[in-house]
Amino acid sequence: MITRFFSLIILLVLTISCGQQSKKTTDLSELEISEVTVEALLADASSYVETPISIKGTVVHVCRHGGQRLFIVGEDGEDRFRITVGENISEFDVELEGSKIEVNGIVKELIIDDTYLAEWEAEVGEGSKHDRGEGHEGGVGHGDNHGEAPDQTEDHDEGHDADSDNDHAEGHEDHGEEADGEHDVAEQEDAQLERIQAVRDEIAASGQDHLSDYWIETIEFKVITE
Amino acid sequence: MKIRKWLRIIHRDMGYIFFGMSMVYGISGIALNHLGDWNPDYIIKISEATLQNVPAADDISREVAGTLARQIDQNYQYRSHFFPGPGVLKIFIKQGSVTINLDSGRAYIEVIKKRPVFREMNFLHYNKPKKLWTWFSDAFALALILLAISGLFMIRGKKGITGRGAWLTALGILIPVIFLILYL
Repeated sequence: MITRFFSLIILLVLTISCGQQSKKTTDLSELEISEVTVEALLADASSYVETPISIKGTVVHVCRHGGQRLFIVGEDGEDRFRITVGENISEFDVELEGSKIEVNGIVKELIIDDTYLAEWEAEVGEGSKHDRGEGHEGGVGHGDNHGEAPDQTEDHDEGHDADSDNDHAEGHEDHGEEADGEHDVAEQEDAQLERIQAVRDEIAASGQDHLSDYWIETIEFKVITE
Repeated sequence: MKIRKWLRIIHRDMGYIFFGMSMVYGISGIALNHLGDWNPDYIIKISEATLQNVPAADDISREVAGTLARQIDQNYQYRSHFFPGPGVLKIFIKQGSVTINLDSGRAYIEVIKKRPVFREMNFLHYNKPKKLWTWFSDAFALALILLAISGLFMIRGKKGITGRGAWLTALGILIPVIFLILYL
């Protein structure tokens, strides 16, 4: 009797899940994909928002906590672009670092404006959400695609934090996981408030009413063997 | 009573079936609770070294970069390299990466290994397989509810839900409520 009961449950689960899978898969053959270089994308990312693109680059960093994002550089090796997993990719393996990959995905944009920053600030004020590692929605941060990797050899700690684990610099949703007591929480809140102010200053300096953060959500990728 | 007999059977057999899942979620749960203290997915070892006679950026080919990495450890296997900034060379090796300040020769070495068992458990805990795993883990969650309910009524008498069980159950509910009051 019990065996029959569990068999039925397993059969039911299998049936339902198989039916669901086919609905979720993104069909690449239906998409018109443009080939873009990292440099071209960085120069004019806003033109590609919600557009399927194909991009090649060398992986210079894979997120150490869960492998949910990686960074690629183009031929010049200077500018990098963030790639996140999509519905078909569970995680990026850290062994991808140093490999050249081709990614097919959709360019995404996060608009960081006063409303966004006000919500973020309110959540910092609440505190407890960030202690639990939740945080502001979207939470992919901004500015991660620009600039050079730090010189790790000049400052060991700084270099390690900045390059080996960009998760904490990328998005404010990750902050708070490291909280260890109220003192740490207060320090983290201060750090986030400073970051918010820095972003406000950056918006003011840009002469626009917002900043944009761009990344690619992966549909599929492959390693290019040379 | 017949219903109590069935509760025992459900509790026992679900306990057997979901023993493995309980271990996966329990162990990885502890691991993920302490993400600030360690990386449950990878073992990352960081060290430093100083290299002599480091060539200028223009003179660094694949072969030269590979030789530089092997100066630190003969077993390092070159994969690729790039220049993240002026005067900085990053060499990817099979074991991780080496970042070298070309002016000072100081090298920062990061060796990464997957942490066995925990990485796999976290992979499941985070529902990274998605698809069928979502349903199986839902079944586990449902089973936990059934285990909890059946556990309440399995034993009668003063050690059951009408006696000591009532106090312990109340305590188990009260603790999370206190945390909610304090922190929410």
